[in-house]
Amino acid sequence: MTVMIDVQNLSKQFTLHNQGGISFTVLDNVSFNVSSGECVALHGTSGSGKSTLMRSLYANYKPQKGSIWVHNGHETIDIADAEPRQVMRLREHTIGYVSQFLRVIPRVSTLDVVMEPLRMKGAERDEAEERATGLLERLNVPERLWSLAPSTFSGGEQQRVNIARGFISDYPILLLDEPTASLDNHNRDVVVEMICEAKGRGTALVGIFHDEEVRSKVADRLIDLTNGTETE
Amino acid sequence: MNNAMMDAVQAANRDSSMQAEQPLLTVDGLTKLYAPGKGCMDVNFNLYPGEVLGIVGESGSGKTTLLETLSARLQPDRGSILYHQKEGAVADIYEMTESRRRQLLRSDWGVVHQHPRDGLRMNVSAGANIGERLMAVGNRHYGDIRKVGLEWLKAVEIDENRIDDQPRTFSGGMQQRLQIARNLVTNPRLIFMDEPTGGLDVSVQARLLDLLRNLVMELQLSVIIVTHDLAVARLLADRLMVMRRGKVVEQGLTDQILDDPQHPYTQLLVSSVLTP
Repeated sequence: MTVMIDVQNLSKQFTLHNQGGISFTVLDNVSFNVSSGECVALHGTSGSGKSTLMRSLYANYKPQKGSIWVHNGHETIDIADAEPRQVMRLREHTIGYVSQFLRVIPRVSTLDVVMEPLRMKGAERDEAEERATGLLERLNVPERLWSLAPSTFSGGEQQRVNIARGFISDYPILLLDEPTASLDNHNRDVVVEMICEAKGRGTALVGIFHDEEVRSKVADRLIDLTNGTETE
Repeated sequence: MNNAMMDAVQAANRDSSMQAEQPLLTVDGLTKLYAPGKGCMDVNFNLYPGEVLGIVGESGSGKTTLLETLSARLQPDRGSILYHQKEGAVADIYEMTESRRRQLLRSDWGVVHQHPRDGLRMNVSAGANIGERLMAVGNRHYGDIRKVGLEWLKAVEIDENRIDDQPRTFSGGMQQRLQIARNLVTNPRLIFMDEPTGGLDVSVQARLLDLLRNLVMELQLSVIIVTHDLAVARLLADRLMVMRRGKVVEQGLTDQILDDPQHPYTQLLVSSVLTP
């Protein structure tokens, strides 16, 4: 098993310059690693920094201290200190992210939203479309919605579009921010199945799962951010 | 949009982006000041093939001055802009001859202006507006030029029946799309855009943004885009530079700058946006 993500002494503070310059620490000296084929769940009370850590792993947030080493082929890149160009490449080929909410692009159809990550990598339209329709079918997104922009969809439908988009590219690393939060039981089980298959392919996963049942089914380890402990 | 013409541009730009990782532009210490704090000061960055760089900031922060200086239209006071040419040589654009600079602007580069009247010839036909740039790079065959013109009208979602109409009879959104077609027809590698969605109402804006996103992705274009609209920046730009009073106060990955801004001015800018 290869270590895919190695977080070392990560600290993140926010300073609100326009609100009296107040400063607060959200992550304090966090260290852990994730190997291929493993799913690690971030755990902790609300406000303990789960989402902040998740966003830092995707370089969406910029930590002040520490490093996040990401295994990428024959090199290892510290995404906390990488050039935008390197981060873009990592996001294209190595790290996928299923955010809690779909950020909708006006006018773009569901099928195109799902296909985009593959198209960015240079895949042919036919190939991308085949994969996208397969995922949408599996996630029970009705075919009549595929040509529509997802902005008017229900929360659960949007979330499934987002999951399809995250799973289309077989990234070696996948970050999941509450992927089952607004899904019914049946679709929740489909997502659990997809996560387990990804583990089987050797994907390294990091997730936030509020649903205890889901968590116990997919997670190999818990990182507790409230008190900084790690449990099997 | 999967026709031979598009494929050719895409292939050409893919090849050049694979050719080692050489920046297309290397900007160093670029300064152009009209008065203290008016203009742009000490700007540094690299732009790589296929990258979209957004320049954001309030009115008067120097965005347009910077764009004009970068696109060989305004001589800087200091600093250098190295351009990696198609043929492989690297040259400072302000040390080139005037005619070479003009040639670049007519072929390898494109400029999309905020006001279509600055980028189009309003009293000649849409087809001629597209064809003009093709003729400037040596195409002489009328039939070919018209055919390419029709293809590009279709690519930017303008009815082919309008090819003989003058752009002054077009709506604002159509004019803007025609301006884009006019620029892309010569297979440029680098496009400069100044508030391309500025004067358009939101539905037209969304359509244009969608079109731009697809063109940038399919053609592997490098783009430098000035906008004061952070939502536009988020949709189009890979990287952002935030300007204030002529200086770049923060730069980095677009979503990082917008979601976790570090500089007080960027924080103010991001928190001032109204979300409907």
